[in-house]
Amino acid sequence: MKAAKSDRYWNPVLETLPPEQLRELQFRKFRRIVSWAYERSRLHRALYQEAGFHPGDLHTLEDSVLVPKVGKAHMRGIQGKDPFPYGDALCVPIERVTEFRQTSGTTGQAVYQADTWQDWEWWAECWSYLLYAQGYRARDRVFLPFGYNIFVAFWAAHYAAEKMGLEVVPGGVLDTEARVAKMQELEVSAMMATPTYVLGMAECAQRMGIDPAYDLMVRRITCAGEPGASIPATKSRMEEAWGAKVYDHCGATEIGAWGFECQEQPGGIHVNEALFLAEVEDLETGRPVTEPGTKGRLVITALDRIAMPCVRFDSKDVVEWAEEPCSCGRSFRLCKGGVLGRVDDITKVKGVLLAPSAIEEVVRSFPELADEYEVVVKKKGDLDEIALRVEPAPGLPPERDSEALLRKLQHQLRLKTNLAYRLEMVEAGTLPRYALKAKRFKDLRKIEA
Amino acid sequence: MPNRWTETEAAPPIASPYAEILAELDRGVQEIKQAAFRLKAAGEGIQAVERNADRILASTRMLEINVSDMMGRPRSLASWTEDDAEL
Ligand SMILES: [Zn+2]
Repeated sequence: MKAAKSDRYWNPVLETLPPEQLRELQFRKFRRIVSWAYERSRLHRALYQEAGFHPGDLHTLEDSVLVPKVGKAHMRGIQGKDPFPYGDALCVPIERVTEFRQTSGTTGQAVYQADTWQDWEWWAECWSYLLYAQGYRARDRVFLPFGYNIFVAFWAAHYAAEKMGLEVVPGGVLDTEARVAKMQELEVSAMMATPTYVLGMAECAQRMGIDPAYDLMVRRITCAGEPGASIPATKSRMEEAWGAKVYDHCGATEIGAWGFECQEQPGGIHVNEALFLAEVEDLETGRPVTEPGTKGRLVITALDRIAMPCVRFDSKDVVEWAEEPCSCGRSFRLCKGGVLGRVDDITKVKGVLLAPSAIEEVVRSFPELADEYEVVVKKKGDLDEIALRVEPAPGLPPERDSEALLRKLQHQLRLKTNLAYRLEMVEAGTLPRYALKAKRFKDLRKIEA
Repeated sequence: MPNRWTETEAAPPIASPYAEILAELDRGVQEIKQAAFRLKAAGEGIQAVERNADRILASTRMLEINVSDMMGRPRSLASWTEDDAEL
């Protein structure tokens, strides 16, 4: 009986389930949620019927590719209609909806999301798997430096932390200085925030004469909202600034919290395969990618979410399966390097495929440079031009030889991305600072076109 | 309607090194669930009973995700009803 007990896993039964049994569990749950969507969502049923698909066509997990994908455009198309404001994807009586949330709208019109109380419990369950894997335990006092507003991530983190017995300090409304002061006053041991804000808070603390690594007690940080915690140079900047372990997590309003980095920090994130089915599609051909080493588009299903089902949702995230299983013992597969970028962000510049995260990795590997940077791609005549603006790190003497530094930067960028850049060093503090989702990569060709 | 997922409810438990404890845990989960449904029926019309019973059922669904799905359950996806057809 005691065999199932473990201090390493939130659920040792599911997290260490042998792959064959895990696939069987996923298949049963996948067929169940597909049927649920088919029977109850007018949006899904119409899509499926149009494609000539019926849930009875599912005989093995490999048949999942028969199920038509759903994208953001579908979700935008139905909202504002009855049952108001969610439209045709709502699968439960509207009286059962207890939560309204919406996407951030970073890539266009925001999408509304309904959840029942059961779904809300499920959100907290997703986050419990991930926080437990990152070493959060009941003794932790965790600070959430945000007003959560209508965005789901930190709400779900809050509810999960409560379920796990942590002590939660909600840090909304306060300004950054007041948050730093509150964290010091309460000796909080953990924090959850966007990478941009984690770095911004450290900078603010330094200005207040507080060194987060020595004067604060934060030893564990979970990042959300941006890919920074899986970019090695950004992760180590955050870890050094705070004297803390920094972990990544992946999720989205329409999907759920589907992936997490574990305490082993294996250079990637586990897909929570007990709760989600992750499929990767080749970026050019669309064929299913099951082997390591090929980047693809993540198509994902939340196996237990019922109010507005997420069935084969086109996440537009780019991921790649890792070669090796993780040493933590979980059988949940790893995505190497976390989310590598967005399908829409990975762009061809001068005929070369470029992921913005590669630029961040190079910039933040230079201790002489500050955290902020800005990339602008535009047309100059018939040619693409890519400009990168950087700032010197705070506290460095201004007379430093910035030309030599920029030459070094140019060299490293060329090695990493096969592209040449127009580089500019701007004065410290001139580039925009972001609290939530940063917009550091601007492709003006799309606007001009 | 053909091929409803509920037709698969008789699926056998999924093999696991924890089969024995899973069976015992699942019995406990089903007891809570049945008790909550009985409570809800007995308290029909009393919001303080119905709503709190629904919360118990939503939490119980999380136990089903963690335990009972391995045993080939549950027959219903919506935690507040014993049969999704009644939705
Ligand atoms: Zn791991």
